[in-house]
Amino acid sequence: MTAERRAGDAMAKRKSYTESSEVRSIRSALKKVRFPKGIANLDFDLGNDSTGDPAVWIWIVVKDAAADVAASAETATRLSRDIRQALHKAGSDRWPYLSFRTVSEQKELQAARR
Amino acid sequence: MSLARDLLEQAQHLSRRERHRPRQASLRRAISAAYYALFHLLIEEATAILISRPQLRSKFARAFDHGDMKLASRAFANAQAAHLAGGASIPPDLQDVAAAFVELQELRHEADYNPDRSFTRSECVNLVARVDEAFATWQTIRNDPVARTYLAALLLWRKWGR
Repeated sequence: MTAERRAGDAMAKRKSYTESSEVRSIRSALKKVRFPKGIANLDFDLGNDSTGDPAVWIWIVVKDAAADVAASAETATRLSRDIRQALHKAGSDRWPYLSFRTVSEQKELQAARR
Repeated sequence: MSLARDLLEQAQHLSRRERHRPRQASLRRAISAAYYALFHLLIEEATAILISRPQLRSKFARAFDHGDMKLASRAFANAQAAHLAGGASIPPDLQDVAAAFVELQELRHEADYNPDRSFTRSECVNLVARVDEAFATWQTIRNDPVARTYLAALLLWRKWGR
């Protein structure tokens, strides 16, 4: 299975809800991005950043064993570039902010919130 | 060592300060220090090329505005500033440095002002490493004329838009 397919599958596992056309457009744009191996889950939120500019926060959960590569600076820089280009092609002016977490860190955060 | 380098070293230290269960305070300060490392690197470089009298550089440095620097960086990262570069394309490495600046500035804001946000070690180490990478990338492009235009744009972006 390709990394793209895995990322797409991870996105498809998200809860279903009525999506705006913009959400659908961004989801479609992200599916065209080549994500690294070792992505366990991918999610995103739309909003404005601290200076009021339109933004998309992309939450990337990576498998613990793959974190060194999947959450490296090189990966983040490439993904940032590829996602900006994909959003631009989709007609979106949202700036992507990437956040990397490992599966175990995500579990710890969820446990702390309970 | 420059202030920018010292801040990057501090960010690296804070991002790994606790072996287990990193404190939010350490991670937040690491992200903030990483942003300011890049902020000061770019200002040091800008003042060095724009101001010939070293005695004036520290005063000149205070004229830089975070918001204007973000706007300029966003335009260069998205290759929307080619008109300033005399039609030359924006080097991809410069786009990466500018993008890192935009992203770190926003995360710095979150780290310093949003108590509801929780940071993880992976997230923090990734952000600090991106600044480290931006430092190294900058060394390879700092003499490019477009990179020098970017440095001037960090100060003058809003005025150039008038």
